[in-house]
Amino acid sequence: MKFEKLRYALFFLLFFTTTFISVNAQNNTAFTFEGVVKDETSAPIPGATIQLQGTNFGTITDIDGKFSLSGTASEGTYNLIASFVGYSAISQSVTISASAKNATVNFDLKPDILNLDEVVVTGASPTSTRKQLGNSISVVKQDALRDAGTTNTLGALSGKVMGAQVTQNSGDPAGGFSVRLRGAGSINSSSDPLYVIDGVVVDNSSQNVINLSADTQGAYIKSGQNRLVDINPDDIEHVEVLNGAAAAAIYGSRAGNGVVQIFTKRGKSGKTAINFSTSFMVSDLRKEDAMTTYPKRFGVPSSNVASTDPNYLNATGDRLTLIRSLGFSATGLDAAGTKYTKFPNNAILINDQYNVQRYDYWKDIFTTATGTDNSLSFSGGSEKTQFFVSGGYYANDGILKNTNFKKYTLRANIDQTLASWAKLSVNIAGNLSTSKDQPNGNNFFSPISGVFIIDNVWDLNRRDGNGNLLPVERVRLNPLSTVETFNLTQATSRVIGNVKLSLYPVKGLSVDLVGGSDMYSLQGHEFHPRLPYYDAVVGNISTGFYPDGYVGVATSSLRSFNHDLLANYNTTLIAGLTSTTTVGYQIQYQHAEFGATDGNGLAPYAPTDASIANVQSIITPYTPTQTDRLISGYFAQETFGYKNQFFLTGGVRVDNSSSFGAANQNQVYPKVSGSWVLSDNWKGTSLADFLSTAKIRSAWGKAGNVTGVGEYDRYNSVALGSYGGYPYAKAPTPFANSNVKPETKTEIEVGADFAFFKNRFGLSINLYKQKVSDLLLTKSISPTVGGTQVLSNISADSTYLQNQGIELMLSASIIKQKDFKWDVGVIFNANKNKLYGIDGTIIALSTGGNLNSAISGYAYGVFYGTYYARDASGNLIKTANGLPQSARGVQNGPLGVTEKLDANGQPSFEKGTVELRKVIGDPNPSWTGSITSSLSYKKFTFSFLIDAVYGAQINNWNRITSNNVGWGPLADQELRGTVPRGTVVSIAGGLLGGSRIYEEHIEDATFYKLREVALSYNFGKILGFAENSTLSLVGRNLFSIDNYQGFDPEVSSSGQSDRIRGNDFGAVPIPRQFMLKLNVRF
Amino acid sequence: MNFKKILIAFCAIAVLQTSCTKTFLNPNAPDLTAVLSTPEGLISYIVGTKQTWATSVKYYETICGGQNTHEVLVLNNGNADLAALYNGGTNVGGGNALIRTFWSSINQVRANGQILIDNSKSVLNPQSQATINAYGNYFKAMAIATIAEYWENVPATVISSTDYLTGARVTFKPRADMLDEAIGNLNAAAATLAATPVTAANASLVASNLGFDIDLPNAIQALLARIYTVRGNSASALAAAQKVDLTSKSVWKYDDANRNPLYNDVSTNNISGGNPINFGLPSSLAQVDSTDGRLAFYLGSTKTSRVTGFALTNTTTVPVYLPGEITLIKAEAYARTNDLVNATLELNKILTKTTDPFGVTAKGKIYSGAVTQTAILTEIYRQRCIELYLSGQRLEDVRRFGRPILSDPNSESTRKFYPYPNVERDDNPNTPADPAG
Repeated sequence: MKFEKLRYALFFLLFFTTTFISVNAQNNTAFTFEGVVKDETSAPIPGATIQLQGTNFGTITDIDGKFSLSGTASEGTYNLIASFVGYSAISQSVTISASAKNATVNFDLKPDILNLDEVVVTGASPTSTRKQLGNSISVVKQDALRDAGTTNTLGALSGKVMGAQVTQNSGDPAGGFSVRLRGAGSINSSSDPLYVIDGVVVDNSSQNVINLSADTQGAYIKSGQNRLVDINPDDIEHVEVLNGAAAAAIYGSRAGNGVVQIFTKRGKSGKTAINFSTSFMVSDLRKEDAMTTYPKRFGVPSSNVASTDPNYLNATGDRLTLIRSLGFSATGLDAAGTKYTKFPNNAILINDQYNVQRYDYWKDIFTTATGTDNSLSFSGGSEKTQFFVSGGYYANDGILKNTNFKKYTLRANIDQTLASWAKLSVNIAGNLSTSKDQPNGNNFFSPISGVFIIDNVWDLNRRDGNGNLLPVERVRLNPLSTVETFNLTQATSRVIGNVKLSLYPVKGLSVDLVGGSDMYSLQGHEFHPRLPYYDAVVGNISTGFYPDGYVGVATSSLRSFNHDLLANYNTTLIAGLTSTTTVGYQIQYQHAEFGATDGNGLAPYAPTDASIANVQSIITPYTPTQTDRLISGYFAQETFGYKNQFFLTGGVRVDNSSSFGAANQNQVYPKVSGSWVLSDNWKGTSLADFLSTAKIRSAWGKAGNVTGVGEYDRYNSVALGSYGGYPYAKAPTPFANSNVKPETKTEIEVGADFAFFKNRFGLSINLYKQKVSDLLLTKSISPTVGGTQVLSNISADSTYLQNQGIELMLSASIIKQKDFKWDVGVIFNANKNKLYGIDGTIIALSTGGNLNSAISGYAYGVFYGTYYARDASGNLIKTANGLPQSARGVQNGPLGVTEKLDANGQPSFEKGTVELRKVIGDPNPSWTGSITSSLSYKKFTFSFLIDAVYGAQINNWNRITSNNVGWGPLADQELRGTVPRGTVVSIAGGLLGGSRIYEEHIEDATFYKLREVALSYNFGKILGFAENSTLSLVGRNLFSIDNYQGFDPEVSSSGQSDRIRGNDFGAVPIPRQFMLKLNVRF
Repeated sequence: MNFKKILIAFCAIAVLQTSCTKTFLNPNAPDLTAVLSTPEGLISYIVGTKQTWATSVKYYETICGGQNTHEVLVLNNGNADLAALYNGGTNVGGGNALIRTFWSSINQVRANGQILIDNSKSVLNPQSQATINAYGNYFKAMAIATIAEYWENVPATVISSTDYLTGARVTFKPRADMLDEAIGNLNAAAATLAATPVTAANASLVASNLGFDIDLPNAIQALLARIYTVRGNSASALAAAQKVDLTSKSVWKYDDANRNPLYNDVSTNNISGGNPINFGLPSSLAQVDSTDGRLAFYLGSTKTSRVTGFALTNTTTVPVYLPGEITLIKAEAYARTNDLVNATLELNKILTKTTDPFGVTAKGKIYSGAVTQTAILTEIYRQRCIELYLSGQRLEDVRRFGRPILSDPNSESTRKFYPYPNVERDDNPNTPADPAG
């Protein structure tokens, strides 16, 4: 009820103010202002913004820095403002009257490396300049996005935003990205920020529609595309990133992980500009995961499995990792004269080797891929109507054979002046994104995983008389069967649009009404043909691989609407004291549907790429689910400014979310911030030549995480199905808890911005501390209760997840002459994430074998597992055979390890001892950073970006399996005899009993990557052809300095999952890419 | 005037708002309370529990025990938890994922049994009420019997999710006590069905929504006979076994959506394989005769590692109990009471069987070994191993017949009992100490 009253109050206020307009909207006069904008070296500035303050009239300068602004406005005195990124805005007074309506106004802009005059957006409207903000905000302009060489906007942000870690999880052509702003923000749910495009809340989820067959093999897979890939990066004007709760409080309950606001390009009145760009891309595998070339294997060939195929190598009996049940009896081996070692526990390993041919499988499944990216846009308009219309076509093949991504985009952004006090803006963007995929990482269907789980002794290209690929190891898929004959496709059609009505009823007041929607439909199709592997003796491979063929289809659709009303009023209260008041409300409604079905059993005569209609047995009946969520909120924010030096902001948002029970639906998110521009006190003095600008600031705020629980998680919903021909109802194994409430993130941030040497060097520092409280945890429960887990808040004061850190940004304009410019930027972010207060328990973040866990006193997602037995000086305690072994002792709680040795100094097997487990690694980096440099000489520009991620670890599953099957680096050493026989199997846990020694595979994931490098030549104006044209050669991910034994330490085979980070099993490595790009403006 | 139109449009859009406070009910599934408050819901709950047993518990009781007792072999070393069970001893820890899921599924069935018993009272139709009550008792007893086969102590209480959230935890009792309680449950179920017979003719809801795939009166007596045997109560075991109609069939059914879980594991050369050597029997016991019909039935005639029998395909039906088990229970009851004549008589029925509702037929010769209690009991054990191959009985048999249990691949089982899963111990301070082996 409270909400209803507030709403009516707001309407009343609006009605009152809009009625007031009639007094104002009088005496309109046509005007024209012309001029040139130049920088401090007297070079013209193209693309500078000219705005008539308090109206919606604006334009941008042409290539010669010239502008012409015409319109009709009521008579009076106005400020004409020229602004451009990297420069202080300059305001000049102009008069519009019947007698003086045309004027020439020139601007000479001065550098401002901190961009304090940049206008930034809160909610749906530009409301303040950076100067007024108490929190830091990162702005990435189109120039920085344009030549990044990635079609995913998030990828282009990598290394350009303070406090952001951008990770490419997969090297697929539309491989997913994860963005984390200031670390992990939740244990149970996503750490993904909120994405907003032109005021529309947009979806960036990762829907698995093509890996249904793999879903049965592992939990929490979120591999594949993240939906922001649908946006055409060429349409983007700039991106604003709000890192934390203090900055994002106005977005309320969805903004706990920060907000990324994307603004698309808009037309300016004047001559129509046509922009065309085309590029050609080539990508390939940057680094191989080395396979052994040693031409021998342990064992006795074709010893215990008969086959009709004479070339059929025996599989299991020959492995490095023998287990006793499949081994050979000592008597049998003695009789045959085979050499072997017998270990304690009666395990036998054969020492004889036999000749084999070794293959390099990477050449079979990877290729050099090409692609093209084209975009064409028209922008311009009259004084009343401005437009930006664009179309794009992107097509790129993946380095993994038979993968690609294609994207067709269209956008129209129209601004229509309805009256001098009213403007209507309409944005509409549509796209079709299609891809051809291979099964994604972390499952046995992926051709990359497929290589990691067979020894490289089979010729993948062996075929029968009909050209069918032959089987490889008995129980495995031939990876080439997947590459050549599987067909996985997905297609997304999406429309994002909004309508915005802006009113300027009285001077200083603006009212915006925004209606936006994001709608998509995503369809995936997975087809596996019948596998031609049948052998009369050994039969076919496991039914888990669907030898009789498989088809899966899934659809995901989303309808999301938001509706915002925002009023902003600027006024001067008394001399020097200004006030900015913002009030508004926002409603977000979302309806999502997901449905999937799959089946196996294709007739031999079924068509290639058969639809689901062809399967003989349905595995998962089609069971679509739908969810609805409504979030509504009111907010108010007040900023007082004193002498344009001191700013104090207070705000509050009250949110209501349908995801929670009645008692917890309403949440309040307050914020307070302040800033002080000290340097205004020494303007014009000699100190200003050194310290040109100094600003200190601080912000405190709260934000929530309403997506932390599923919409219906608070209900004890039964599972329905059919068994034996009768309908069944099963109790949910996770217990419902109707009392859950959203997690709350409280953040305090202090920071400062400095500019030195006449604004040539800029330095920004942020220090922050975030606490996520009321943690939502899915906890395993004692199964004797009849369930497996329960979701609940832990609201104790001592239980929270903390992020604290420092962010630094250094920007320098080292050389700035008319023909020679050199700009350098450095970003450094260090975040320390730590969980407190769930002592004595480990929350395993995966039900599979992954090690990621949440443990008190450690960062979220650390690797927890078994480790090597070591002596006091840290050397491995090896067995009498020289084999490594895991530490044993008494484990008391997750962290209470007491190592025990027996009388011989070996790990103890006495009663009560177990294999010990502890924290053995952390996928969170201790710091991330980047260096950018842009050097331009006359018409040449050379720029690069180096990204660094330091101190993170990765769990190299690929190496576990490649050693176990026989071609990995340790297997190679064991074959060559440089490590004792049994080393691999000891680590795998099969020889001495017990489990795998996980410590072995935790590797340093530190990398320094040449993320972007570009050389471009600006042809400038080509008479009779183009206004401007540029040719660029761009490289992406060309080079990486790292110690990782696998392909690439950046990838994550569980994709965009926030729970499972830093695991590499079958993830597609990130390719090295070259791009030649031509950009022409007509 | 232009502005009026804009103003009207503005206000019109602003007013077109949905209400701000909204609660969505889950359209995808009903709430548990609703299900348990209707007879149809409770019947569906029985079907759901059957599904849990058929697709989950059946797998774990068969495969976990099968690995320990070497009825099956691990084919793929990547399956470390399976290999740990095969190797037994200290390799089996509380973190073993198979044991964890086994424990979760079986305790779910036990809790469901109690929920059915408790909610049956509110059902008005006498046949529906009797069915729901009898199934509740049957599931509870079946869960207790299975837990008692693999663990030394059995959960003694069932608590609600509400009580759990306020801190209540389940307590445990020794297996013998709980088996006695299960006997009580089964006798109660038998009495209920005797008082209110349920047939397709008189119980339309049962006929249309549950069916008679499990012939409950016979299945109850079969389970009673099994539990009495475990408790060493030969007279009662014999009495119960004699009440079982040996032509009756009770089965777990499978289809495309509910696949036979044994098929993928033991019949496809990928995960586990049938032990081709004498069904995993030790060399101290006589080899299975190559003409024994059960060899062809369970392991095919080729002696490859692929199990046939009740794991033949994705949709192969699995018996709830085998009639052969009932005959062997009778033989054992006679043998243990030293009635060797009748024991041999029952044993010969198994050895010479040519017809069987499920096709398990030895088609061999009568018993020709020594007529001593020890020799006959050993032969009964051997016949149980063959006749009841891969049905989840062997671990109990190994203990009851006093066979060697060692952490050695040549022993007949590598574990006596299982440790309690970490997931129980971490959340329940009442969890008993783990067994030595």
